[in-house]
Amino acid sequence: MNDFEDGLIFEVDFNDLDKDGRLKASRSFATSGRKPAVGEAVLAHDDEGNECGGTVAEVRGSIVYVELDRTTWRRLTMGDTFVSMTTIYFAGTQQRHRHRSHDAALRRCAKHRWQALHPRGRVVSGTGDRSGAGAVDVSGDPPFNPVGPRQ
Amino acid sequence: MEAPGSVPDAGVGLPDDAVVVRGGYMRNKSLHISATVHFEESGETEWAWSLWCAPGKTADGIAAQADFGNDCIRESTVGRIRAAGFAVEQDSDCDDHCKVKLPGPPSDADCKRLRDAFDEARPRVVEEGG
Repeated sequence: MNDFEDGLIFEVDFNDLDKDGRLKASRSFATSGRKPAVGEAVLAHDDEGNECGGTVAEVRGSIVYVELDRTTWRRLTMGDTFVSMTTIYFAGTQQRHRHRSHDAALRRCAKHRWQALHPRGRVVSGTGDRSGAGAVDVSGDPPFNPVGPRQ
Repeated sequence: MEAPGSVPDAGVGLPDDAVVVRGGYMRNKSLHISATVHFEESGETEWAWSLWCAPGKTADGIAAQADFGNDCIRESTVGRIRAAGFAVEQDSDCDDHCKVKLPGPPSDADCKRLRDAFDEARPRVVEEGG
């Protein structure tokens, strides 16, 4: 297995942090039913386009406590509405030498997942993407990721 | 009214004017996931949403101290959430959290009712050097 062929991706709510600041992820919302190992690199994302890599710190029942690597925080968006930064996610020019495994995991998993969901979209990274804040439909599901051409 | 920070009874003593914050847009899926995480972590005994709340602090102050990375927040108060029909208690596991207890898994209508008790999402203020 290479570094992330069997990598776990969790859909999370990034508000769910414990008192130590670890993200609480449920195995019920993981891409695989297998039990993650402590120290394993995983990817967490929410349904608002945010995602972040991290390392499994503890597994307690169905809850996985993840130490987030906040240098890998990204916001994936679609179309011009959200694009206020032009950094392309896969440009790979950022200095993340200390986080090569997370970076590889993020690239591979995010690329596959995102391309499946957003075949026509673009990916941007970084914080400060404020301009599209109001563009997300918060009236309820479905999420902001309509597949196919924009109406 | 109780003095800010004075919570005589952690179970029920949160003042109505205590500010409550949540990172992100509070979409249904996120709220469903959050409630499920709480349920599973509690040993499948309690459904609830955990929200950032620190009596006496502003929304930006709470968000600045919170570790969530969302670049926008939504703000409410304990009183507004109570007025929406939810029971709000201080979260004994985290002193900067409160929890909204639920009788069971949240419905989409529950999610909307909670969301409607919050202001619209706005950018999170990031302090220089912070």
